[in-house]
Amino acid sequence: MDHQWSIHRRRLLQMLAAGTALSALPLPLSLAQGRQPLALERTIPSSGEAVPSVGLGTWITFNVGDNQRLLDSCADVMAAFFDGGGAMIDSSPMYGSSQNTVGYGLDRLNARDEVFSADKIWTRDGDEGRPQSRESADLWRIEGFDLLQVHNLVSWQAHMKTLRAMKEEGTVRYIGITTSHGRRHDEMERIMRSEPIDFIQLTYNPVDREAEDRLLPLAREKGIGVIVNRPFRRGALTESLAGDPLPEWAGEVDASSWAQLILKFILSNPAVTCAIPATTRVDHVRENLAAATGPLPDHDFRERISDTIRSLY
Amino acid sequence: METLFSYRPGDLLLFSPRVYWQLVAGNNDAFWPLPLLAPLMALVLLWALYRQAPAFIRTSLALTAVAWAFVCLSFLWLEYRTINPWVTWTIAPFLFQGGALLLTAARPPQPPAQPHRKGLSLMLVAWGGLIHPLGVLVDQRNWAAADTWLLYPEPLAVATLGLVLGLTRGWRCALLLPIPMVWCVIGGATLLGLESPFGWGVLLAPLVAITALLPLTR
Ligand SMILES: NC(=O)c1ccc[n+]([C@@H]2O[C@H](COP(=O)([O-])OP(=O)(O)OC[C@H]3O[C@@H](n4cnc5c(N)ncnc54)[C@H](OP(=O)(O)O)[C@@H]3O)[C@@H](O)[C@H]2O)c1
Repeated sequence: MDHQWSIHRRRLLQMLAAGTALSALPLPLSLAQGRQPLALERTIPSSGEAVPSVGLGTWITFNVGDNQRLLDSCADVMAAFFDGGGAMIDSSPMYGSSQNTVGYGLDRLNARDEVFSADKIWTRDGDEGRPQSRESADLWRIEGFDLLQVHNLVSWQAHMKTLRAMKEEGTVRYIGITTSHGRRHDEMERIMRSEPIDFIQLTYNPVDREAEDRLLPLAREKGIGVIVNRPFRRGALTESLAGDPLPEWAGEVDASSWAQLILKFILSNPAVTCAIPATTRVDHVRENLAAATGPLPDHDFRERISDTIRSLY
Repeated sequence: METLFSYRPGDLLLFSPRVYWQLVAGNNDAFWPLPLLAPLMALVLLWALYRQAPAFIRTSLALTAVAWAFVCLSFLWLEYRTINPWVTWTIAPFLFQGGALLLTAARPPQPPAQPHRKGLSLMLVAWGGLIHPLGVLVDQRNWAAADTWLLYPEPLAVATLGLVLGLTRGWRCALLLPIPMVWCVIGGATLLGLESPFGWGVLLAPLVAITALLPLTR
């Protein structure tokens, strides 16, 4: 549909650029808009479009109801996110009022052109997928989504049909599936092998590494983008490491906090397209985005990060 | 499967303690000075249980009935539902409980006579009405977010268990106990998910109620 393309002018230009020598340039439009380009952009395998590799989750952190003060503080987080060059925001109908909070922020910041909107279908009823995605778009106050995912594989067969049709019509640009906490990896693998999806979303961090066994290599092989949820185990990792001093060697990859070291670990897996930490804090969103700059750990360094964090956690 | 064990109680909630207690503080502000009156009203309940005078029995049952309807509409429907859509399913049971208490208030039965039952009912009402809001002292919140029995479902459910056990028996008691018991389980678990240790008090209230129902004394 036309609206999709008018809303996402920046993305469209990036897609065009992806096919030309321009694709070598980092985020030309964000430069043109005077915003901070992220050094670490990733390419969405199915399209060649560039997307910043640190996004923003909204589970719990953005479920703030009608509280004006909290709505504004979430919008401040979003402002810092866009200012720092971030784009992908992930939400779901399951997340209480989070979708509305994102919509409030996009409205207040007039940032519809800057967001890469990732939402989900979350209903057992196969016929409800389309109406639910329309309701979600209304809450986001946008015309349609960049990415729609089947949340936790709920009724995925029925929803996948709907999503394929929506993609053909142009009402959504990318489609995918999600899981978390290491659940249902077998089923996810089957879907990756049989369905034409653009993205998978799963849990991956220095202590939750099951995805490395099969799903991440398969994603690379099949050209499927990977979104990483629960990078900090919903804050349990960062909280438990807070009392331990950051090893000096973290400086070798320009990490100045545990959160950055964790994100560097995640982003250094070549299959990963985007990690989506959630936060209620402007300083944390800046810190997380900064992890997408500077050098990334190599294989031995990754093992060192993982071993150290496992031993302290 | 290792990742599955990374679940924490708070992961089962859709919202954070910060947001929940801000909701409570906002609701207290909207209905000020009801949070201050609530402990005084709890004393009326305790007096009714202790003296078992018909006028007090009727008043306390009617007051509790109104509290169920009020909490349902003011907090659950207008506030809590904005961060927890599942709350929609609790509206009908809460209104039912309010209606059933009101009908019981119109024709209250003879209160049961077992002393241990009376003692445990007094304890439950004192817990829900007076002690539960002291949770502010151990949680990371301030007095503005105190959850009192006239405004919040958990202390209301605990106090109601005490009142029903102390003032009713037979089918009326059987009718009036299940909803507060179920809410104690849901609400107690939620408070624990919010890292409030007073959730244990709410969670254990149904066990106290069951103990009160046992024929321990004649
Ligand atoms: N099945 C699914 O589809 C699924 C499942 C789970 C998650 N997700 C998505 O993935 C997103 C991320 O996962 P999550 O929210 O569960 O957990 P997470 O991102 O691993 O952790 C969020 C917590 O980390 C803390 N944090 C963020 N940045 C920090 C920093 N720089 N330093 C210290 N602490 C920091 C935040 O606290 P502060 O507020 O204090 O910063 C927040 O409490 C979700 O929001 C959701 O969008 C999807």
